[in-house]
Amino acid sequence: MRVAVIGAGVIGLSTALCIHEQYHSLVPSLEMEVYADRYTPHTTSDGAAGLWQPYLSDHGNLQETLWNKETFDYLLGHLGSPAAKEMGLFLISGYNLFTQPVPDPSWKNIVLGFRNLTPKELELFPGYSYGWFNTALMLECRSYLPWLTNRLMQRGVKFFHKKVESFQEVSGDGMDVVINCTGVRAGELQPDPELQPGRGQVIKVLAPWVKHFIITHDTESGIYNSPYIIPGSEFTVLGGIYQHGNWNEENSAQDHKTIWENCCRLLPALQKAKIVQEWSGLRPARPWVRLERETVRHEHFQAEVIHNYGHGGFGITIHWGCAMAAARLFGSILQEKKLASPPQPRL
Amino acid sequence: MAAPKVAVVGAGVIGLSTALCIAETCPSCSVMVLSDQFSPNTTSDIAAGMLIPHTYPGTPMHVQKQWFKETFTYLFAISNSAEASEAGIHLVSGWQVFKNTPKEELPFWSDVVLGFRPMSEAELQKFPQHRFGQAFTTLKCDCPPYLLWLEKRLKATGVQMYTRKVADLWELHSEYNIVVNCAGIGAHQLVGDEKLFPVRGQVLKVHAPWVKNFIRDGDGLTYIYPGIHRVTLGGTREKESWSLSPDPGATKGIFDRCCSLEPSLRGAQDIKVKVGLRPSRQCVRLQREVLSQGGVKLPVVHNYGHGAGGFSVHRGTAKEAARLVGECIAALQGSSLRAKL
Repeated sequence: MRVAVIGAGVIGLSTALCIHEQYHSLVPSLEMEVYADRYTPHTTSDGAAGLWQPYLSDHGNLQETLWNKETFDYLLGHLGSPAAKEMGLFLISGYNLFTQPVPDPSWKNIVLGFRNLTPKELELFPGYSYGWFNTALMLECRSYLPWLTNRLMQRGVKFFHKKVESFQEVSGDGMDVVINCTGVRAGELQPDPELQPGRGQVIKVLAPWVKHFIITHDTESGIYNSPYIIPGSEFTVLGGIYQHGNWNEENSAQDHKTIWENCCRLLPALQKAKIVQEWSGLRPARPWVRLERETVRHEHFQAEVIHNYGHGGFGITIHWGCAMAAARLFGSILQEKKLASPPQPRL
Repeated sequence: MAAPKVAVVGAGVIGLSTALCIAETCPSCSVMVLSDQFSPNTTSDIAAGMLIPHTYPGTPMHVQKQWFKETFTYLFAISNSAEASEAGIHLVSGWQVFKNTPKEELPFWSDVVLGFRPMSEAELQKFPQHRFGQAFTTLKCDCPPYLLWLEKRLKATGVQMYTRKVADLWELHSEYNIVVNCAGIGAHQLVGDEKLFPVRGQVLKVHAPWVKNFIRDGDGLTYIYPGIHRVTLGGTREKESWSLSPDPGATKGIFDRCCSLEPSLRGAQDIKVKVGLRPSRQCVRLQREVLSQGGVKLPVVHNYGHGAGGFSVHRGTAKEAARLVGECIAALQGSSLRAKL
């Protein structure tokens, strides 16, 4: 049976791997192909700093909180393994800063060592009167996506560089499944007014003395519209732009100025940091993640589609939980088609 | 008397910071730093420069705490300023883990560092061989940057630095009014201090930029300290060993112990082995002395013997040494007044 995965960002590749790992031995005829118009390092995932951290409020969406936790625990379990370095996975501690007290986040018990900031620590951040300290994880996609790609290639998964224009294009007759991980451009395959770009811009600098992430929050400007500084294994990412509905992938001089001035105010030593790169990307924003099955029909064609897109600015944070959920949906498709029924007793 | 001429012997963290404090508190003084070694060839350059105090059995606790607090406050201000990266000062968070619960669960410095608290169960799971731990945020002084920054500050205040091997403090008596002895382990020979002994420390400086947190075993023997460009892996504590040659057996031991605390270090690159001799003593020798020969007197201020804790207390002891220099100057001025009567 053929499975086509559309999209090769963190969602597409991890979902592909999760499904292949779980079902290849049960369905020996499983043939998986990945289709994407962009591969690492040109995906949306590549622009992200890679910090595991959900939004401040889950808006009562317990499902997403569980997927976040699943992802964190899965990654934490890999920390001590030899693969960690190749995956771009490591622990990192840091600060979330606020101008007023806020309720604790849904993820306070998922991360390590979550606590409030002491008055002495707040002296480091004039203008902020409240905050959190915790230890979380970094998963750098410039390493993780190649790692996922290698695992998939070792398993015989084939990759195709093309822009898919329709579900029909990648599925043939018979029992086929399409996994739709097309991120911000999912609307081109099937209109989805809930999906909007959340444009972001970042400046990558050399600032190896910065060992903590620092994320500021401004309840009025909204998530990611307040400066943040996230040190990676090689570069430090400066950001703080979130423009809903803006499809422009070009860097903006105004946004550069906003990011630079705000981050240098937060950490004066950054003024001496050398700028290495500037990047803009479109977060695939949606009120909630679209993770569901759909039978897509068109004239004589019919395919089972599993949608897995709309992860906003928390794709890395939630990716494995979603991949596992997509794999469960895949399993139920197999069951219905009697491809993976439990072994019959021999009479 | 005309501008007092002060010679500071030694250009490690103690010598340079002491010279700076003297220049700050006594602007009329003419201060010179004399040393046979400068950065990157001092003992300080080998050290990771972490602000985690060592305990001196012979110094009262409240004094050690005062020194640490002064040093921490001073460096905290620099780390928060635009000069932080040039000075090599940065904050770093991490864990001190213990295989057996220490008898003192709250060290004397727990309220000076930031965010000190016991580790949670979830955090301890990362260290299966350890049963107890402390999490906190402290400062690190990366060398050579910090020493080079101190040298730059010194030059800006008019302090000159000379490469010179001083064999005997007395040889300085004709050129200088006061001598400040910050010779570190060199004091063993320079002033014949038998109470000063080396504690040999071997470390590995590796490229592992994904390591962002420090990890230290409470026994003080194994530690992982991420610096600006390199991570310092340690270490050894060999009393009375004077050998500066790297020991391959120790290298393997250090690497294995650190990898068991942080497995990802197996991927560390470009491993450089370094050795330094901690200038160890029951207590820091921070006191005045007057050398005299044939009626000629030479006031000396000693500031050496900081052992494993030099960085942690350097500013505090430098300020105290500067204060003692002030006393020496007052005494000299008093006696020169009396000579006039």
